[in-house]
Parts: sequence; structure tokens; C-alpha cells
Amino acid sequence: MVRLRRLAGRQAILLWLPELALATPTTADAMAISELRPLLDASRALWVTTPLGFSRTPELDLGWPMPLLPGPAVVSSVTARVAAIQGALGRRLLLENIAHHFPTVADGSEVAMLNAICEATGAGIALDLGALVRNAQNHGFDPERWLQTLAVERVVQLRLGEWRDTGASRGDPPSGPPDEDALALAETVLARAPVRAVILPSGVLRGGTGMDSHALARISARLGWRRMPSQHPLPGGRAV
Amino acid sequence: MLATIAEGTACFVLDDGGVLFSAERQELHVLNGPAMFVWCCLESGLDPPSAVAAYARTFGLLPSEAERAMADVLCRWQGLGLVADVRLRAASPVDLTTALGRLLTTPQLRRSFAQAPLELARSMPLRESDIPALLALDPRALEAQAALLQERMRQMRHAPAQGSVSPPRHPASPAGGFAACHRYRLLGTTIEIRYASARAAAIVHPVLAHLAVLEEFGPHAVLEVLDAMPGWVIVEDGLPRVECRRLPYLAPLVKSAVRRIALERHRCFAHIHAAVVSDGARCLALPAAAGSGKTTLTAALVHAGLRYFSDEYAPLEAPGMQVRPVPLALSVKPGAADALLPRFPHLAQLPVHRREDDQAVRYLPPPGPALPDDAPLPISWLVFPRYTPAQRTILRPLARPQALRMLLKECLVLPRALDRESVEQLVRWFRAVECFELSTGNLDEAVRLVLALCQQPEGSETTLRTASPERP
Repeated sequence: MVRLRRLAGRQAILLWLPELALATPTTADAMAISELRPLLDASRALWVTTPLGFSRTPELDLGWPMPLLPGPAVVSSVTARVAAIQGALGRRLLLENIAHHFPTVADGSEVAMLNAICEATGAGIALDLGALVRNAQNHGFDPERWLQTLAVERVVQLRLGEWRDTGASRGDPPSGPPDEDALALAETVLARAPVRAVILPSGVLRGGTGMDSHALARISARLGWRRMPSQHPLPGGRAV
Repeated sequence: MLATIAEGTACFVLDDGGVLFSAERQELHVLNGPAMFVWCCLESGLDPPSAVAAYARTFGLLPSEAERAMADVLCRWQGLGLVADVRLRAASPVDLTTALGRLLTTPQLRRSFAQAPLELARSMPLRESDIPALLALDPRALEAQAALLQERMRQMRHAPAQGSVSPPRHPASPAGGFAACHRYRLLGTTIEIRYASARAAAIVHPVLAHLAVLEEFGPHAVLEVLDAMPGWVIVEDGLPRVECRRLPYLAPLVKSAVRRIALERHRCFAHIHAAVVSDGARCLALPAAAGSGKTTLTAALVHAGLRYFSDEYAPLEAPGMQVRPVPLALSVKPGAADALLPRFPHLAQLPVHRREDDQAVRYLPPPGPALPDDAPLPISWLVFPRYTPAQRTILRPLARPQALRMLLKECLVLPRALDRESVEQLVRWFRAVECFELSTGNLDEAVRLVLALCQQPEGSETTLRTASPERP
């Protein structure tokens, strides 16, 4: 905690908490969430990002976010839950899109659910462009058109990176450099959205992922960074 | 028959509850009394009306209430793949996400969904308003998502041990030889540590000195603590494992490497996050998360005459779930030092180290007489401590099913896949263990209560004990 406080004095910290159980809260969750408050206070986290999915039910711990099915009861319970978590943590939640196989990603029902929850709760959107590109490839839709249906004015964080194929596990976190499609989408979003943070694949600033330095410069310029992000000490997909 | 029991599922009685084991899913479910009753009805092949009547009689319910309660339990088990073909239809509705979680983890349900989605949705049972969302799902997409989840879970179960992302640089061994070399023995493993500098040896060796042995035979593992300018690199069997920049962090890193090597080489049923003390014949384990006061209580119990086995890790050995000593120095945090100073005045003179999580600790080596032989001993008592400052100290008996649930939360590693035999051994051991919850507000009182527990003859029953009269 001391180390975290010290770090927070030098660097803006973003938190990614994938197991907030947005869809199926259990009785243990209230305590678990209240225990997060000191961590948030010490880190002075700007916001908390969580996937728009579920990794737990009252009887199962799946350990990895799975997509929600946007039934009316799900939308209303997730909305109530997001509002409650934001109240308990004293921070804005950002909901992040995930890569998955369900048709809801292509038929518009998932993005409608995301917009509705954000509208009702004031939550923001963390847009994972790697997941969007992967979903567009898998489900055969146009990501530009998908973006037109998204409440882009709520996007405050972008995640860039390629979703590499590793056999069956097509949902691996981005590990490669973002491809040209994702970079073009990033520029579109950056022109329209109040983005305050861009999450790059782990290792990109060490040159390990082969990300084009021009691409990085383009993103830096669009964000108005006066320094290249290589001078920032916290690169990578996980802020903490 | 209420339902069909899935292959590879077994249940073991534990007091008035039970332990349900699924070999296929590698899951243990602790059942309470009513759930165990349902399982017994299932195993004895009672027809649904007779089972419902028996349940209603036993728990004083109306037949409709009994049927609903039994159907809820059976539908849940069906969702988890523990049973199939549930023949009671009165279950309470489940929410869409819970139903989806069951579908994603249970192949049999997905097969039913592919064949007759509406029938499956109603049997789960889903609320009518949620059914369209489930029916819109393509069974092939569901199968693909389930495969993704299964792969992800497989990766998590077989995740490699945490290590540094990129290997640290490998400095050369000292030209003039090592400044010091010691051998330590833990869990039957002899580890030789070679220190390149006297400075490194002076900070690390006192933490491990009580484990030092004089053995002529070759060690099982070799650690080298090499100077790296700045800092040190810990090399394990010729490979650089971890880099340390500042001296206060060095001893915790070496201690942790010694513990890891010993635990990895030791064959056991499970590693439990627990402190352990012994009266010389039987052990008392204190399973608890960090910050529960187990190290403080352990140190005080050792001072009071018990033998020291461990302050953090308890390796349970099948078949009797005996525990073997892991007597590494006790990690005393600053908050605990004041409470322990009257018992261990030299604690104040011990150097302060920094763990990887930046926690300041002093390493208190156990007194010589408190060190046990290397032989494993049975655990007779499980005491779950909870530090509750300014509260009364109370030792309260715990029901075994509840205690097992709490113990499983502190289970750190299961080195091998569970099978019916190993689960049966676990339950058999648990039937003979006495379980308690200890709310500790005062260290002296807690020590008195635990010592009294250890001194009682085997087989006698312990009821609620308080350290001081109840306040009005």
C-alpha cells in the first residue's frame, strides 16, 4: 500500500478489476467491494475498468469474463449493480467490451445494452479495439458501423493490441501489436471521444511487439501528449 | 427416482451434512443437512412423492414447500452436471446469467439445449421474460464459447509458477570462491546456499540458521546469492531466478526460494494456508488469511511450550492428512511486534526486512526446544483465528461442514487431481478433527484457551469457552 501511494504520487493509476460480478452479485460481494476502497484511495485511481461480462455466478467461479445475454432482467440488474459499485467505490466505472462468440455482438443488442447501462448510471466506456476487430472478423460485421452505434462520447479509455490466435483460446488478452485496422479505428475514436488513456500491449514500449513508431507517434499526437509514452513508467495492458 | 446421478459423482457423509465430489469437474461441494437429505433420497432410489413426503416430515414443511426446496437443489446440481433427468418440476426460477453459467460449464445441458432449447429453458427453469434471449443463442456459438472457457480454465489450472517475466542477468561467480556456504534442511530437502559476499550471508543466514545441517552428501538444490552491482541475483541450480536491488529485500527473497523449492519437492495431498503447532503427539492448525493474527498467536503458543511446525504453510500428507513441519522463521509484522516483545525481548534487535509486497517484517527464529523432528503428525484440532481488537476472546466450536468450507478457502495448492479415494481420505480425516473459531481480542487469553484445548484428553467434547465473564 505504501508503495502504491508512492507510485500514485508520481503517476496516474488506472485499475482493471475483472471480477466485480456485474451480473450476478453474491452476498460476499458487498464486503469484497468495501475492502477495495483502501486500495482505490491509496492508488488515487482515476477510474475502475471492468469487462462487460460475468466471471462468477452464485455457484460458479469461471475465472474469466464471459459475455452477458442482454435480457431485460440482465440489463436492469447490471444497471443497478453498476450504480451500487460506483457509489461504494466512489469512482466511475468504465465498462469494457470483450471478444466472444455470441451473436449479440453483431446483432446490436450488446452495444444497445452497453449504451443503456452507461446512460442510466453515468459509467464510461473502455473500448478494447483489439476485441472489436477480432469480433468483427469472427462475426463478419463492419467495425466502423458498430462504432457508429456506440455512445462514443462516453469512451474515455482505449485498449490497443492484436488478439493472437492460439488454438482454441481466441480470447487471449492482446499481446501483439495493434494492426492497421485497429489503428485506423483508434484515430476515428480519438477524433470523436474524450479519451484520456490508451492502454498499449505489454512490451510495446520496449520494442518487443514490433509496433510501428509512427503509429505510436500518431496516437501520441492525437492525444496531445507532449512526450512520447516511452517516458511513462507504466506501459502495458495492466496498469496495476 | 428423483434424478440420475452423473458418472464420477460421489458423496460422503460429514456429520449432518456431506461432501459431494465430481471427478469430471474436479469440484468439491460441501452440503448442509437438507441438501444431504436430498442426496440420500437420490441414492436410496426413492420415488418423487415418497421423497417429498419424507423431506416435508423431517423439516416440518408443507408438501409444496418441500417439493420446491428439493427441486431447487436438484436443478442446481443438474446445472453443475452432478445429476441429470430431474423429475421434480417445481423449482424456483433462476436468472439468465446463472443459467448461462450452467450451460457454459455443463456439456450435457448444452446437448439438451441443441436438441430442445425451449424445453431446456423451461426445465432450468428460466423466467418467461428471459427465455427469448436464451433462445436467440446459436448452439454452435454456445459450444464455441464453452470451448474458449474450458481452455481458459485449463490454462489457469496448469499455470506455471510465478516467476520474473524476463530472466535476470547472470553475473559471474566470484573468482576467489564464495564468502560463505551453508546447507539447510526443510521438508526432507537439503538446499545449499552459496553467498558471494559476507554482507549477503550476514543478512540472510540468521534467518535460516536454525535449519542449518552438516551433511556430507550432495544437496538436492543449490542457490547462489551473487553480487550484481547494484544488488544481488539469486541463481537456482545454475539459472538466474530473481534480481534484488536493495539489501532489506534479500532475505525474504531467499527465504521464499527455499520454501518454494522444499514445497515443490515434497509430495503431499494439499498445501493449506495455516500456522501449525504441536504438543509433541498431535497438531493444532490455525488456517486463516493474512492479517488474522495467526503468526502472533503461533509465536505466543510456542513461547508457552508448544512445538513450532509452521506460521504459514501446512502440507497435508495422504492418507491420514498428517502435517509435516515447515519451521521457517516466523514473519512478525510491526503491528504484532509489541504484543510479542514481552515474550521475545530480542525481537526488537532483529533486523527489519522488506518482503516483495513491501511489508516490513522481522524474522523470529523459533527457539531450539520448540523445533520438532521432521516426522509428520496428525492434526487433531482446526482453529480458525480472527483478530478482533478490544473484543472478548471466545473459542467457539464449529460444525465440521462449515469448517471444511472455511478450510477449502485456505487451500493453496492441490498438486494432483482429486479422485474418489483422496476425497474419501479427506472426509475420513475431517470426521475425526475438532473444529473451532477463535475470536482473539487478547493474546494471553487466546493462548490460555488454546493450551486448555490441547491439554484435554482425546475424545472429550469442548463447548463454547470464553476467556472472561460475559459482559451484560
